[in-house]
Amino acid sequence: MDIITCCKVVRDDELIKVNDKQELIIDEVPWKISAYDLNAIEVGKKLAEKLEGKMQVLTLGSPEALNGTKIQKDILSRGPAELNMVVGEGYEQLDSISTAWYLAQAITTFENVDLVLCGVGSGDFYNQTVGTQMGTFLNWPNIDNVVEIEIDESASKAIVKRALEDSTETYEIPLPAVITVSSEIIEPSVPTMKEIMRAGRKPVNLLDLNAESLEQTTEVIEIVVPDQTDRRKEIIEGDGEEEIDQLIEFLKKELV
Amino acid sequence: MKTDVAYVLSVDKDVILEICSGLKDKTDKLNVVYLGSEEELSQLKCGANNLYFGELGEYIAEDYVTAIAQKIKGDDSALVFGGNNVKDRAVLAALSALLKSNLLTNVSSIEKDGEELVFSRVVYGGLAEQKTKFVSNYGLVTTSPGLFELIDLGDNDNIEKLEVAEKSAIKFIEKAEKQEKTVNLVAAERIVDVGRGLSAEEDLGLINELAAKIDAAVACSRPVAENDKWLPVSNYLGITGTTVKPELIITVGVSGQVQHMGGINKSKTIVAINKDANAPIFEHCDFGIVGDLYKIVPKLIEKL
Repeated sequence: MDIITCCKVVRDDELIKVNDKQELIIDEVPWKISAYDLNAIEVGKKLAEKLEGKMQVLTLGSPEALNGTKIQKDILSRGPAELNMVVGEGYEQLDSISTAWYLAQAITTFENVDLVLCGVGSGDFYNQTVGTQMGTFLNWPNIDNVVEIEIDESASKAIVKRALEDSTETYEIPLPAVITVSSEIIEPSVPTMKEIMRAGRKPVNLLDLNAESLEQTTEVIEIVVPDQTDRRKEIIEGDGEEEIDQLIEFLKKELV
Repeated sequence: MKTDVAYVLSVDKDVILEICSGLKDKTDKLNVVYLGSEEELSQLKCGANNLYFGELGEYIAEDYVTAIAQKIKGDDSALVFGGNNVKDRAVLAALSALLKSNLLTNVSSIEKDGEELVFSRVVYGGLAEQKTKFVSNYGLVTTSPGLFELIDLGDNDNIEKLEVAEKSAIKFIEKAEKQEKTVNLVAAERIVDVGRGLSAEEDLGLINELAAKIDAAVACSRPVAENDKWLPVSNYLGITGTTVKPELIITVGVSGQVQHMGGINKSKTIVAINKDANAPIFEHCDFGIVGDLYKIVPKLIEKL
């Protein structure tokens, strides 16, 4: 059972600041593994353990994002046997269709793949489409928003549960396939000291795709910070009778 | 990007009616693709030039993707719209790969700049908005719910049944309705929003009591739904969850991370209860009380 989990390295959105001209200050913000991909990596790790298979991570991004050993070790401490990188200038800014295009070509460079896993969306642009687009480019069966995966012993098919807005549907999907998992499928575990120690010795492979690029179909005009609503910010400290009464007074006016 | 031809595709008839309302008189040719049951067809008065219908049951939505792509390719250029629900998004994502054109999801506003359409979507966990245009013959978009006002649209000129051109390899087995009650948070005027400050699942009783007292819906932050599983996933607020705009939202034990604030910052009045004076929520509220929710909430239930 050969599993490849796709993972994006993104700017830590909790640390992105806005300057007084309402512009994002993004250049110095540290990189991290996109939160929803941690769920996908954990699923891959658990499936590989259960089926005595091998899980590797595939990532695509700019040299700035991926060339640091810290981020590489962070990824490798979470279960993959190897880390495979497609590196290109500005790649983390690619739109989702181009991202899917390159990832699909990267997948074809592996000798054996039974299952490709993706997280539900990237922490930066959260378009939620790359898994389906990649699966379609590969002409492999694919499904998204999956909350449960069962794989048969011969690794020929998976039974998956897919969460919709008001129901859950079960599908049978032949392998190889691309499965996009919902973040509710599993909680990512924290790497152990042993896993962190071992991470530094695992292989990091640079994939040379020689891929034809996809014609650009969208153009980003600008990224703007919307005006913040001015809040009154009446803050009181304490949970005594007096303070709670002040809160009640405020709420009573709002509840009219 | 020309906008002479528009396709509106959904598995949800209400989504179709909403998007068609938004496109009325804005496109020369309006084609609708409805994937669903034949019984609903009569309710689909969307004023379309063509209504293509793919019946679900024996077939799943994915089975129709190739046939739909062929229809779209019959036009030299087109914009394809869908809802931002799971199934529409997946069908449009597959179409986008077949058309080799990008799909912009959860678009929250569409503006006209000269002859061009500019699509905005929220990025970086709610911190910013990305404005994008298509520079190709085909463009695909899913719109966030409630983007357009419903209007009367009239009959369709032509209705045509879609045939499956290439069946998907995935096989539908069964469907289970979710047991949990879904609440319409988007329409709620008052919301009690609970975060990780709550110590135990049984304490939700307290939250429910407060909500009942002021006729509010109950929502939560992502970890409360996804990690603790105390409330359904559909109840969590944030850019990746549900975005709400009530008159009043009372956050209880919510720290106020960017991602969550992106889901609630359109609320008219935000009240915060949190024992951590440094919680970011206090930077984004109208009234905040730094204190123990277990002392404060019971008093509110008693005195409101």
